[in-house]
Amino acid sequence: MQEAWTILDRQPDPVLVFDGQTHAVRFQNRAAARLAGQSAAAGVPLADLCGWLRMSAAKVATLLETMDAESAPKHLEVSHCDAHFDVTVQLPGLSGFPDQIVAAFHDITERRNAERQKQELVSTVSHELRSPLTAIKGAMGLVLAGSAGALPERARDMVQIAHRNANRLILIINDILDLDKIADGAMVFDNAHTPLVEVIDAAVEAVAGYRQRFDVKADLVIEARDAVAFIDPNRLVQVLVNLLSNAIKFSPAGAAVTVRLQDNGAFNRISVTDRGEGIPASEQRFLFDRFVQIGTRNRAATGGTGLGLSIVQAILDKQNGHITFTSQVGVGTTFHVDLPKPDAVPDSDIPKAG
Amino acid sequence: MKIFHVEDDADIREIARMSLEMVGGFHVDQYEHADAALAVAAEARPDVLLLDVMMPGMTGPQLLAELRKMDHMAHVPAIYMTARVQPQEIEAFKKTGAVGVILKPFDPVTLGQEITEMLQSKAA
Repeated sequence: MQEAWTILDRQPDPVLVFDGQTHAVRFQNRAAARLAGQSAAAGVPLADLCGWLRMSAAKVATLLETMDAESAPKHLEVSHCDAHFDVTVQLPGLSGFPDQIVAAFHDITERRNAERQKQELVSTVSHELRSPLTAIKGAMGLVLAGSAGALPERARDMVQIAHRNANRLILIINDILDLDKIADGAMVFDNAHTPLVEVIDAAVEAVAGYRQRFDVKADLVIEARDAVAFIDPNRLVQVLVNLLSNAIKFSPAGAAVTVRLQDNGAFNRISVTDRGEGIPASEQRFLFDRFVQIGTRNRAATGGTGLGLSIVQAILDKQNGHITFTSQVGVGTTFHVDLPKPDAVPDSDIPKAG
Repeated sequence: MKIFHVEDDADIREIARMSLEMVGGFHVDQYEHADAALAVAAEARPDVLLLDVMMPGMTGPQLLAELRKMDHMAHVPAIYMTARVQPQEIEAFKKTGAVGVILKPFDPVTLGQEITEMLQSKAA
């Protein structure tokens, strides 16, 4: 046993050991002491546990309240000055120390910095792409508007293809920026108690032009007229518009998509059903991946960016929501958006703006 | 209607000029950067200021602050053009005294109409 303590003490990562019953800190290893700016000698009195480690210990203790003897190791992230740590919390039995809980601090500062740099790069590149695209889209728009005189029919067709694809490129950049904002925590969610019927009406209204273009109707089946969720209504409209546009795009002309609102007990469910080709089982698991478009249709013709469902999923993640789907080839696809009922969301889980 | 347009990207200047003159029926005077704009500002009598936001040297909002110091420019409606699209940023631009913000990429066919509508909503 003494050997195990020695190994723990010499671990390069900071480690705290908690009492299994009282959750009080019993031990900090040399790396933890060093992190706290204390002498690296073993056996630093715990009364000297520095303020930052004491705060982290309090967070670990809070996490422990949610764990029982059967729990797998859990992770939590703590930051100190410019350093970020991934803390792995292991319960007695799992950690090899009976009656002790081991919390190991793994330094992930470099990973976090790399992520931030990547996000800055994405943001800068996306913004920089907009200036040349402004000139491209502008020049082609003017040519198509006849500002340079009448065009031969074939030239006009080709400029139209270029113009349509410039527009698609702009949509892709907008979607990348959206995803980046969500990942970065920079997307603002303005949550309010929102009647879901209103959100559905707004979304169906927003795709009116689209429905007309593809000759697809929208049937509403409202089974839970009073359903409410604590969400950002604009973001949920964005989610539904995305699902509805897909459903409309992949439905045959003359068909109808169905939007259904149900009370499913623990949560409210909004479902969007299309009468499209369905998604083959082999492609289903890629559906939420970035830049994935299912089926054989030409990407430019469908006008999609391949990022829509990734954005939908990311937004719902931030709103405590959940998306699933069922699909049958030759019959169609249904997406289910499950939203917790307002009283089912603990206060601490409600995402704050920013 | 005379537009005082400051934009550092030559191609976008050209597209905007063609769009505003040929489609929109405006008269457009264009400057490459804030210094060039300030050099002629004392003599200029525009009906609307159309300012790019991100420019080398003085930015659009900084240029607007300089122009506002001149009596004859103090109340000319200003519109920004920008590729920065965060909603918070648009609000911040409006707080610097602009009547509107046009996002790049803009639609050259409706650009003039967009500007006219911004001026009308300001007048209303």
